[in-house]
Amino acid sequence: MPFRYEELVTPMGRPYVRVHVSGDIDLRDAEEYVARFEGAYQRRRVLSVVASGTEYSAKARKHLLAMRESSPHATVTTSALVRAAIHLMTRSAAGGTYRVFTDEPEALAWLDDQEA
Amino acid sequence: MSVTIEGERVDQLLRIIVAAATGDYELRVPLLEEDDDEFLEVELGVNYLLEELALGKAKSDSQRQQLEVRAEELAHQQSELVQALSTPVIAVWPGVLALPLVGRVDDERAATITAVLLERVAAERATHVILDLTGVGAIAGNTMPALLRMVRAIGLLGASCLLTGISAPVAQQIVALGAAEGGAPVRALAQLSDALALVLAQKGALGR
Repeated sequence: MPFRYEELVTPMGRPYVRVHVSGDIDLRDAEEYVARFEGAYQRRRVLSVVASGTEYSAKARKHLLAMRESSPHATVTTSALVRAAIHLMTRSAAGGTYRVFTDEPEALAWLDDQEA
Repeated sequence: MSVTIEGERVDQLLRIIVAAATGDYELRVPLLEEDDDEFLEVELGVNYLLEELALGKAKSDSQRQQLEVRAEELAHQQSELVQALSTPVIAVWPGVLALPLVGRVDDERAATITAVLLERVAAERATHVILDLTGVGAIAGNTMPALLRMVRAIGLLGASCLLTGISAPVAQQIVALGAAEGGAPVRALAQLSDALALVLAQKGALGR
């Protein structure tokens, strides 16, 4: 599974979902992801940790872009390619507070500061 | 924003864009983790665009193939329908077939009519065939001999052929071909109903 979900709490006690992302993401994976964040995880802060080499198929990208995200979302990656992919996708994303980090504690601190 | 890019990366990107402009969407810009700069997004963006173009092309190719198959099916159905409508052989009485022809008769149609009619004459052991030309506007130059050969072929199968509804130009064509002077056993009547009455009288059917 390219997405692994964990329900956690920030140091300030705010609930968030940590998503570990890796591998090749196709449309079905994207649909499952969107269903979760439009369902059970709606309005939840998100911290996604994206592994190097993660690839999004064209259909998956389109589906993820169609999602209206309103909660703060921090992405952690050390890969320049993944960062470029996420920047491209979020350029046209509708709404939401989004930032990319290379360091997870820094990302979590930022997430904790955001108003959900 | 100012970014310094190696000439090789720009050249590579341009080569791929030029290939895409000629319809080749299969190439991709090689991406390297160490090229960690703003231009990497441009390169990746071009790859995304190429993926979209390749997907669009595949979809369009598939739709075109489906349309071609459908067009072929429709053409086949149309051809069958036209053939059926162009040779409406009607059994108007046991052993009597009528074929009202409408429209222009060319060589291809004359060949179809001949094949269908001879098959029906043989299959139904017809004694008479009424070929009604009332709706025939014109007969192509070389086609009249083909129709007259059909009349002779019907005779060889033991049936008589009656022509009805012959227009003045068609009558002139028949005379010019000498068919009315003995070659083919052509009997002409003004209307289909006249021919039918004659045939039924010959068969003694009217007296029943």
